[in-house]
Amino acid sequence: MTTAIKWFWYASPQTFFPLAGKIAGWCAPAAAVLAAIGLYIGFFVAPTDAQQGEAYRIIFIHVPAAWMSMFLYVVMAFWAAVGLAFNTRLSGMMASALAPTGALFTFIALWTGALWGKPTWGTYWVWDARLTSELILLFLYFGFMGLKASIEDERRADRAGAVLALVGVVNVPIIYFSVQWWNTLHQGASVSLTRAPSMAATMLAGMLVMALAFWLYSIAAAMVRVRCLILERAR
Amino acid sequence: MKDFFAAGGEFLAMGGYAFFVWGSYAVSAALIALEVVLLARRHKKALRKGS
Amino acid sequence: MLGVARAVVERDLLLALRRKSDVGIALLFFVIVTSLFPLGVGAEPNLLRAIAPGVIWVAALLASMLSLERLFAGDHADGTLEQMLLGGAPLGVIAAAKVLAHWLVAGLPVVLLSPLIALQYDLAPALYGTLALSLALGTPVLSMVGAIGAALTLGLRGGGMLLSLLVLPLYIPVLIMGAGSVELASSGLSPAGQLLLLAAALVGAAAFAPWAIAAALRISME
Repeated sequence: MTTAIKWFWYASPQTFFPLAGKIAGWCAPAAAVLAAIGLYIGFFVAPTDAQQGEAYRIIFIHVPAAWMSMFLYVVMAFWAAVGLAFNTRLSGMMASALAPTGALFTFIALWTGALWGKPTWGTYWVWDARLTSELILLFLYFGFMGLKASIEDERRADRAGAVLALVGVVNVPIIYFSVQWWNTLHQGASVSLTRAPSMAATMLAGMLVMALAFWLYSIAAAMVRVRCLILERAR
Repeated sequence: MKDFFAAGGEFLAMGGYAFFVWGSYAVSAALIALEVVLLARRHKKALRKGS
Repeated sequence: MLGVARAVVERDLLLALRRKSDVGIALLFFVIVTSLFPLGVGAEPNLLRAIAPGVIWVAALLASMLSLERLFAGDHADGTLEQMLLGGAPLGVIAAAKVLAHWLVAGLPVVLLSPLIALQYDLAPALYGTLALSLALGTPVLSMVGAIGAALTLGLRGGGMLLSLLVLPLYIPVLIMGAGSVELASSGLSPAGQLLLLAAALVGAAAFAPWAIAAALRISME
């Protein structure tokens, strides 16, 4: 039994193709099951919040989606870096495969954030630190996807996207902290949505299960998309 | 344990916040479903063209 | 290495001087944009004073971004860029020198013009210094980060708009720090913290951006 996993064995798109299929085949149903559990916890186990009533139940989508949006960007940047460093085509494809799902979760975080803001703080759009950072993250995703879409040559597209993703990932914490500071500077108008209701353990459990469900879903989606890319690029 | 079925419509009403709660869940579910459908179609098309 | 840098800066400045209209247009854009806001929101002095730092900073951002397209386009078109890639000089040094020349021609004038615009917005004269200093520290960062975007989008159709989409989100921290410093000063608080952050951003960008710009140029020119 070989102890060292042959990492570069799976760096070949041809070899990775069936593996991606298997991973997706396992992750997709697992995601569905976990989502069902998470939603059950969110609606039937977690108690009603004292201040926000039932409106707070949006948290079970909003927070996991926000976590995923940031996590996927980092993973995307990771694969981009690997692609630049080792010149592996598959890494660039992985980064491309993750972007749309990441952008999707970013949008969901924004949408649910807006709908949560209206009943609790009175307006749909609140320029609080998290929502504003999510909006900027959405622009970063769109920039990445836009750049790749604008470049015909696949190799140049992958490498250019990789540089952009790396510059972006370095900037994400800078953006986050500067937006946080900006929010405190202009306090008064908005109160932060991120100050969640006092977390009952069940609320946290619901969020974590949903986050896990989203994570497995992202893996499945990325695997399927990567298979599409492998086939499309092989022409 | 949150008993939503005591009054039948309570679950749907979400304490008066139905629009916001269901608006969030419905749109999120719809978007995810959209991604799944688009991906499935793309995948099928790619498999057909490949072989 | 310094010789190469100096040569590149001198060449770019000479080229810019020959095409003075290019330089003038970017500056004119900056001035026009700042004139638009009072027309849009009304000329109430209190309101203008409040929005002045933000408006001036946003206009500086937009002007910087618009002029970035020209950074590599000229050399790319006539083959000079290819020569630079093939030549022995470190591409990072060349890139940094080009950005410096670009800033001298596009960024520095904005810094120098800012008190005039601030006057139009009835900003307290005591704040002119903070405003100019924040712009002096921030616009080079904008030039450097923007140059990465310009290098990545070299030769692409739809380049200008795409460049904006790529670069504006990255500009946001600089905008917050720059406009924020002036706002702090206007409330009587010390802008030192934000200005120091801007200085740190400048140092960081100067250290890492040339490398990224060079990598991006190589990728675009393969």
